Amino acid sequence: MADGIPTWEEVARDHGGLLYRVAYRLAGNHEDAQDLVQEALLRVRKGLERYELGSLEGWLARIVTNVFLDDVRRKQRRPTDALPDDAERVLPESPSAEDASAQLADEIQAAIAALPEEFRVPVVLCDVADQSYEQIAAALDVPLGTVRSRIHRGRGLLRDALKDFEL
Amino acid sequence: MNDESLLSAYVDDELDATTRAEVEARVAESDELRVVLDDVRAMRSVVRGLPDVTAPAGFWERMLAADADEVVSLADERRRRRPRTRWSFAGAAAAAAIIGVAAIPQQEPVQPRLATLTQSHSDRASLDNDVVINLAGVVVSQDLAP
Repeated sequence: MADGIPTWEEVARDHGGLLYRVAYRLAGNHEDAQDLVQEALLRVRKGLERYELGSLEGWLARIVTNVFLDDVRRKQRRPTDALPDDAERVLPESPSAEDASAQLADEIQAAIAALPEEFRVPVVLCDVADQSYEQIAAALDVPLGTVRSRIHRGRGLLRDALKDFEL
Repeated sequence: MNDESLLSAYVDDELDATTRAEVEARVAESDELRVVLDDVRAMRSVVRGLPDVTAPAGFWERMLAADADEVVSLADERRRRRPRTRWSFAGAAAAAAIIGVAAIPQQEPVQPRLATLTQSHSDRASLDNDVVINLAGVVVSQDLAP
């Protein structure tokens, strides 16, 4: 690390876990999460020289979010390329899985993945990446009040989606 | 309360002291708002309490092994042609052959033998008939040429 700016390898090693967590919660499956992280790391590698010291994790969360939103826009332009958002839910590993908590986690993840992107992204940035509303507003280039309302609306939609589960 | 979204901001500790006190006063007066507040807390806990998720085995080896300009270029080319594909093992193996082996935290270092990598790459490239992967083979050959 020179001048406080991490190397590409340090970013991947020390913060890759966060990148992957955010990517997975946004994408809803490992396959797409790997695509997102791969692309995010390429952008990190290209953009490290422009990184200004501050919240590195906030910067990384912003990058992976932008990759995700770019991917969403690309799929919207080319809908035949899109895989179902809940592919893993359609094809569960085992219909008779004994682990109830794992099943519940899958249901919660499916509910997150089913949220419209405008709500999913701020909820994930808040509750997975632990970003402040101010950081989320900067990442999405929207007013603070919009972040607040989208997080609240997203949580309301999650509540509706999970109303049949004991939480 | 005109703006229920203040409840989420309240739970996330995103309000100034004055607004926070105002929210608490309104909630104290309203059973309906208390129910919403409980729901907000529950959903926040549900998402934050999800089990940690990690990348499949080998993913970080491939990512770090791919830290070579040649492979980045190849990845860009592959993405341009096939937007949803990922780097294949063969491509990553070629990258590892180019730049050596990277140590990954929490996972065993990988030190594949060059002959194995080359053979694996060659086999995969032939099977896939993938022009770009085949190009990766060209890169390896050129880099290894005396």
